[in-house]
Amino acid sequence: MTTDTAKAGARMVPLREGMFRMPEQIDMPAALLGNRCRKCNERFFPPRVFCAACSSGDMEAVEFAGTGEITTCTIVHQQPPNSVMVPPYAIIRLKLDDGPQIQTVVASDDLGNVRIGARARLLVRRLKEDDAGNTVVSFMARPIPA
Amino acid sequence: MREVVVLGAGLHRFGRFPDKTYQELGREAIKNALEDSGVPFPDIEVAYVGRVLAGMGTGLNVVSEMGQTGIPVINIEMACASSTSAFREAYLSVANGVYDTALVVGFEKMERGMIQISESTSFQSVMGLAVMPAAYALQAQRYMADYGATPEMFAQVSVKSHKAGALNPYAQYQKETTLEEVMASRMIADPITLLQCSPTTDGAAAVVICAADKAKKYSAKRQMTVAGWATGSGKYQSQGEGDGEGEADSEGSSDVERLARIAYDRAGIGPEDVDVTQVHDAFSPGEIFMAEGLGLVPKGEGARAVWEGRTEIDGDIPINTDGGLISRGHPIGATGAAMVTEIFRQLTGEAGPRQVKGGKAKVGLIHNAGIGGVNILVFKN
Repeated sequence: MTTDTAKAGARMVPLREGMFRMPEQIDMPAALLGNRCRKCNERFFPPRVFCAACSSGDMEAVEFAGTGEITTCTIVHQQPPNSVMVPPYAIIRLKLDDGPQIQTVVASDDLGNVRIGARARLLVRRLKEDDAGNTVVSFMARPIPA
Repeated sequence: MREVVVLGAGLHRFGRFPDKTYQELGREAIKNALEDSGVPFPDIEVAYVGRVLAGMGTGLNVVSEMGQTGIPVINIEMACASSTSAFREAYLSVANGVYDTALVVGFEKMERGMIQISESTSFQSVMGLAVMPAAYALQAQRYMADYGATPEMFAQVSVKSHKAGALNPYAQYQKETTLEEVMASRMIADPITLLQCSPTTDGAAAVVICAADKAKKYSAKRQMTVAGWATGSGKYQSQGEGDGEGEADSEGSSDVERLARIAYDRAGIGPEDVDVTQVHDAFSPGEIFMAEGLGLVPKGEGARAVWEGRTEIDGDIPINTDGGLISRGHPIGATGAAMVTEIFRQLTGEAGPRQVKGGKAKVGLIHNAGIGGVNILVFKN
């Protein structure tokens, strides 16, 4: 199954509103929409209402560019309940260059370059179609070959 | 706070019992625990019940099987650590003089397959991120990169676990397995294979505790003392420069060190004093991470300790002598009370072929984790 084609003319809808900047086309870079605590400077994605570190509610919206380094990764071979990701796929932790560590997935067609220490960028990729025929998309990582 | 002792414990065998209700499972464990303790049910003043999936009113449904004595029945949930949470609450209520005798019971009936750890419509679920073995697998991959451990070392935990389970008539799995079989079983999330995952299980476990100065009136000839405890949830860990870990690990696995220290301080001991341990091996790497987090071995040396057999029944740091979650089974509400049961058998010299240290074990340690946090318990004899 290809993950990188949208049906011609199909609308892209995000899996969740407000998590990333929707690019013009599928498989284009995704800037993540997170936030920062004004009191203690910790940064979060997904954005939090109250700071996890100091519980302040004084938060400021921040965008993260969506590039970083893979700090750990695992290849998943069994499809968990309610998931649309078809194994094998990878779950990775990515330390963003300009933000916190996040967790995301790497689709089957990108597994070859997944390794600890590899750089990766976040793209908006196809997850599934919804009942209305829209292409549901979310942020996923694509490792950059060394 | 006054001293509190465990007078008895009992189990219903762990396994699959599609024709048994959770009431039957719980009743049998309670009956066995009461007989083991010499405490008649009418003397129980309060019951703390650990259970997760069964829903409303289920604690009373189980406890009232023994009689309708009008006692408070308190339902406690912390996922896989529900019945150590129940034990802790029972202990604190007796230690603080609210009650003299308390019953702790944990039970669960479970469906097969991966447990759903996130709301089914959450973005994590849809994107395939909500995979329980993945958290352990991610940590295992990092551990291998940092310390040079191999996948075989994690798999060895399962080999050891099955060997111990074969000596435990209450265990779900009572057959030894080889390293080759563990490595060759279906890969779930690299490096964790199917035989390195704890199963879904039906089962129940119960424990009876009593104020130490009231224990004399009961016929139980042996007891163990609650010496220390600690509980906490995942604490946010900044990595400096405003870049945190994101959400703290919901199972609190990075919090074990600070919580173990609190429990050891309360018990007046250090990790070097521990004779026998139960840890939460939901997946095989858990044993290695917890052996380190609890201070039983230095950081980075856990995998080698397992590989060298140090955590076997006849090793110097025996861990999960009854098979642990992997082989004893993991009925999520009951596991905590089953851990207490095995430590009780070990410290009272009644563990039979699983007995460690020639029957001279004096200090037992429990680590039980669940979505919600970590419970640590220390017992002495």
